[in-house]
Amino acid sequence: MENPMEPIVSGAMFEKLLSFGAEGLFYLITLIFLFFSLSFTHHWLAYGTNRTRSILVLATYLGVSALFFIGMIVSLSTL
Amino acid sequence: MLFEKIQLESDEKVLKIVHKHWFLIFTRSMGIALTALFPLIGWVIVSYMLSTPESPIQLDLSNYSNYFVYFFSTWLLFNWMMFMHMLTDHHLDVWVVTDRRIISIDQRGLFNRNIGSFRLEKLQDVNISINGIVATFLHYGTVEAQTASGSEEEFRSDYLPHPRELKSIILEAADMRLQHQRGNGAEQAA
Repeated sequence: MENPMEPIVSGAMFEKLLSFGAEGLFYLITLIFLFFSLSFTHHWLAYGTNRTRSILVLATYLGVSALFFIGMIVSLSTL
Repeated sequence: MLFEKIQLESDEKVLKIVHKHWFLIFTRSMGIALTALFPLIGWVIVSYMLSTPESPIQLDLSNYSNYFVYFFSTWLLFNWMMFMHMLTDHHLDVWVVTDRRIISIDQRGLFNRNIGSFRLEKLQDVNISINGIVATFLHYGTVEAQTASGSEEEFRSDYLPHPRELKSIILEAADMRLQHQRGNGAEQAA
């Protein structure tokens, strides 16, 4: 017979739900990132006034984003 | 690049390219930085409150630190994209003063862009206004170029650096242009 005091959402279930949500969020943010990055690249290369500066800004943007992505991927793998 | 899109006339010289003042991007960046750090500050405060013996909830947050690192990295990436969006908007908002015209490019978001230009012969006056203590010390203000056609709406921009210098460059270029035109007119009459 089932225990009437058993919680509907257990700790393990909650953690599984969180991991699932985190993975979904990762794919969503990657899509958003790709969209924005393509837009930024187009704008800076098409409408920038100085090509060297545009390339430098885009490289910095992608470099810092890569650091955040590494943080996300490493922590996601431990969930 | 920009000048290929604008299509400058042959032997048209660019005298000045003016982006908005750095102080504008600085204040906006501070807002984004505070928003970005908000979860970290919250995490530290909650961790401290839970670690006190008087806390009614006994929970060790260090068990969830990998979740926090993940969501915080995501949050930082999101804010980083917002910063880049703002930087793009800031950098592409530009006034180009040439020896023949003024081109005003007003970037409003990523996919909304207004480009206006008028020839220096049509310039009637250039008004500048510097309002406030910060604007006075950091040398930025509003520049408004009035044209004979009266459609000055597109030729008004806030937060332009060194407005007095910009005004003198524009007026000097307009005078040169008028002199050049008068010279051409006299040659044709002769």
